[in-house]
Amino acid sequence: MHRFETHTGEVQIRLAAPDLPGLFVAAAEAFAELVAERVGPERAEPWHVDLREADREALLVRWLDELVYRADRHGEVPRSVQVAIDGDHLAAEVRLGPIVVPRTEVKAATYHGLAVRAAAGQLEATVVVDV
Amino acid sequence: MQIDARRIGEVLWELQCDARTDLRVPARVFADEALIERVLSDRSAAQLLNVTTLPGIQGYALGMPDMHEGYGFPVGGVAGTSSVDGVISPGGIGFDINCGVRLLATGLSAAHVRAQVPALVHALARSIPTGYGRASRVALAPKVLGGVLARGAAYVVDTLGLGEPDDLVFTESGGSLAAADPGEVSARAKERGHDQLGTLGGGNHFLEVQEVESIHDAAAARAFGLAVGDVTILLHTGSRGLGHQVCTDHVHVMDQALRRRGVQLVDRQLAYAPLASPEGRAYFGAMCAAANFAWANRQVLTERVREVARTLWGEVTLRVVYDVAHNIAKLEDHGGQRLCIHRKGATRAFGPAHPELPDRYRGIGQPIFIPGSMGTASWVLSGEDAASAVSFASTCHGAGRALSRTAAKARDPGHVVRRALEARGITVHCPSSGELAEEAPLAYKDVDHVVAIVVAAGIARKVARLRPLGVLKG
Repeated sequence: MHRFETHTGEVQIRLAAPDLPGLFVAAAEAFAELVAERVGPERAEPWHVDLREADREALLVRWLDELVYRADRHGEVPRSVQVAIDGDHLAAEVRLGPIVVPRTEVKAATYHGLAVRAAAGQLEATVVVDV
Repeated sequence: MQIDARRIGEVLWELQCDARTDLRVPARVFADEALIERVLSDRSAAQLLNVTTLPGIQGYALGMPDMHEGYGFPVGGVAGTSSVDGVISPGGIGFDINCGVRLLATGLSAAHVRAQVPALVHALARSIPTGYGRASRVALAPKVLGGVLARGAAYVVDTLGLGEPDDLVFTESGGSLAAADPGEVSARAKERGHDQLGTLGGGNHFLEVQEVESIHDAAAARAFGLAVGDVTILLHTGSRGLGHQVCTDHVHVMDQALRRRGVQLVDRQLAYAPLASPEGRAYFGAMCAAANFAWANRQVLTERVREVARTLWGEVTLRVVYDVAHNIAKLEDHGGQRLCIHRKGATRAFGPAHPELPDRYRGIGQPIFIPGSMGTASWVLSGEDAASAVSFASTCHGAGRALSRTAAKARDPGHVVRRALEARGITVHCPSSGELAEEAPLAYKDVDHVVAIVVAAGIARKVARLRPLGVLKG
């Protein structure tokens, strides 16, 4: 689950999921919705992402930055995502689609106010992205 | 956490927060009652207080009157750190390194060419790639990209032959920072930038055709080449994906280094490194290279605008009035000290006596451009010598957002914004209806109000007010 929250200068996204992989999937879904108004058909070949970071907040920022790179460089956003997380390591298989109608240019994900926390039996995070 | 503001001058306030014991210097904001109320209504005041915790910060952390919530620094935030034992923080510059504005004077009368403005805007839209990830007409070979990163706009003019020597004279730092180190720009950043030179990008970037509506300082306007009724063109863009990636890469490096040392930050986006450290030097070299890329980008765009203008108007001369950054860190002398001035959404404002000014502007002051919004006005100001002591020679960079993007879109959808602007005779070209709504005039503070504060503070004086005739939005 994701929702966009009020932030005067940038875009703030609230993420929630039952587990950490779900939180990263929610981040990818939010990113795709923010960046593209309309997405074309899914590419045949999946994109494999392999990341390692010191903590889960850094992993979340890095994950979003990978998506920023993909959108900026290749004009693609996730259509479906499978994520596995083992400690400080993320492995993802991403099915991408081309951005047909763009919405918002995202420059980067930030660490501002970012914390992955447990609440009401699920994991939550709030992330601010520079737009 | 309760934050209050105590008035310490006509348009100067000091933020107070009894709960904070980690502040190294005061946090001050240029504002009147109405603007300080806005500042206290979002998280920008807390962000400015966070800035005061940077090691080596000198004097105060400053908020300009257009200050609003950002990340790390607030947008409209300024800080000077010691160049000897202070730090540099990419969060004090932002991802869009050397986002800035360049004003072109056409010498044409709006009365004569007004009817051609729609054709001009549409021709510019065909010539200049805008929006998310749009590539340029050309991909730069690695050697050429290396030249751009090392020498910026100077390389574009001297080596690529795009532009006039005077374009560099009237660009901050000659459009080229000698401290640039292309070797500290990652392969991914170069990959993102190699085909983005000469592109506008998305977000709040734009190209605006304007008319000089009024002159407020005749001598300065004469020196800047502006007269009532003249057509001007304002470019607003930055270092594109290359600059974004430079910031991403180096925040990551600094964050990891701080964690290894067990340093806990009040905001991780304020990750820093001592200027003299390997991480600090690497970031400064890469940031200067990205800044050069941005100046090169605005130089290439200037040539595109000139090409289009010539097709419509023949041998017209488009002169660069000035080009100034508003997301950058520079080493400057203030109060007898060499400081690393971080400006995030803030514009340099050198006074009439500053040695870096081009001869033509000596005794006048550095030109400063303050865009309002698509439907209101922009201002041309000139810097005052007193600004060095008042604000580290810094001023606002725009009107400043008043509404979040979500709130702006909820008020008026893009097609309504477009119709309202067109009803006022403003031609609008924007690839995304959603982004048009996000940048609607109602999303911004009153630019006249914001400018009045920096004038009252003694930072700058008014030269000319420009009103929009046509907008190409990124």
